[in-house]
Amino acid sequence: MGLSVNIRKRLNGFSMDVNWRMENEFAVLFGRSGAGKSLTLRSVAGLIRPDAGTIISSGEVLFDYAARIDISPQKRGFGYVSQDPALFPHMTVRGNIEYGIKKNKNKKPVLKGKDKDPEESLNYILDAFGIKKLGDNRPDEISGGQKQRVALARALIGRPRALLLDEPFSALDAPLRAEMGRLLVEIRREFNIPVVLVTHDLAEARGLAGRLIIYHGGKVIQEGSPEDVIRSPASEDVASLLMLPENRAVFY
Amino acid sequence: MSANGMFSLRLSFQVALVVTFFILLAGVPVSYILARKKFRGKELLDALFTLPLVLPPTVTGYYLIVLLGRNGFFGRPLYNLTGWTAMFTWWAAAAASFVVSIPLMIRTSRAAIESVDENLVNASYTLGHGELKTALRVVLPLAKKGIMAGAVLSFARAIGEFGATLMFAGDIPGKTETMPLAIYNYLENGEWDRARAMAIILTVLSVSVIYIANRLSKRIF
Repeated sequence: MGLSVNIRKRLNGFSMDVNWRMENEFAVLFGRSGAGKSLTLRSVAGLIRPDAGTIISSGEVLFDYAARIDISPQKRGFGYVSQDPALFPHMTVRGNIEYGIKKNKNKKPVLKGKDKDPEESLNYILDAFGIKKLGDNRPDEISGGQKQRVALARALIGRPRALLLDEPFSALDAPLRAEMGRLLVEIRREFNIPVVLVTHDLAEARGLAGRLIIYHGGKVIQEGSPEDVIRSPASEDVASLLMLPENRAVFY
Repeated sequence: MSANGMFSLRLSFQVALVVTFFILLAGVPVSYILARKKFRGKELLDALFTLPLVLPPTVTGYYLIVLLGRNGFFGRPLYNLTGWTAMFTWWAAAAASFVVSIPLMIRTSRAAIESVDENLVNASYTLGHGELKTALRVVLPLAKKGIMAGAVLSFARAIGEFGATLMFAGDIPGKTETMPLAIYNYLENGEWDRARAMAIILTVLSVSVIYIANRLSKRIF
């Protein structure tokens, strides 16, 4: 279980060339807006086609430019949630989450040992995300935080191989964001899958990351455990992005 | 209303309903492809489907005769094979109305399909659903109002079709004489009362249709 990303992409004058890998852990792509974090995540999800490189998940090649492999997003099996929860406005909360259940011929349970049929997994996940009472509501009748819970539940009910999160909470206020962060940690423990979170929020990055991958100007300038990166930043840029005290002294 | 008048009324509705059915059948896939696919010559195809909206109806009628007439490009093999020709039947009136009305369907529903949020389409893909299911469960339901508006406008345009119908189906009372043709004939014969009754029916119908279409999708006209 892991993810290895080595891709290049040019888009509207912006050039990205990144190479990183992760195991079954909580990785945070951290950097300023426009550093290429979202572009990377959209490429991994299959929504954008890189100009070159490879994307490999648990040994399965999802993209390989040289070998002309480009698995379509619907077959990649990732859960993808962005800042826009993208709930289907013509379906109820329950309908939205049900849409995430793939017609699984083997009737594989959503969560191991917990449920056998789709109805049961639906009720379980509604309960687990605290949105049981909202089942019959339409997306325009619920709050921003609730929308993101529904989006997460919808992405998870199909048993994704990994969860890709593109600043999912950036539109929420700080206390709610902290709460959602705790929810993510729980999700990762429960589902036991790799989680990649894109953020430009330093507190979020430091609080959640098991592995920190620092983006700057379309490149990865350092990766490692948060402790290692903070203890020995590889460059001025890393120190400045992480607002480390030594660096702050330079500013004043 | 005279027997001929009743016939015209019935024929016009028959033509418009059949045409609307086929326009929905053909127009939705074409609109979807024009809205969501990238290919060479796409805007040329769009222009081709818009052409009947701006061409003089006589020119549209001319093309219909050249293509589907008894000696036409498709019409001649059909006639040789079956001994049947669409010309001067109510099918010709339907074909004329179809060609003249389909631009309204395609313009309206293409715009509606294009306005569906790309994030929702991507969400459907990443949830594991292919293009067909995404089209049927997400894109088309969200574009439904625009598609319905296009169908309603096409219906109205079909019921009022005159020029191309006159050329391709002819003006045969009791056979191809639709309401607009009947009005023309009434006036030719100085039957003002009958012309007025039919003009009022068409006016009321058109106003209702525009009202419904505007309710369905705001800001078309």
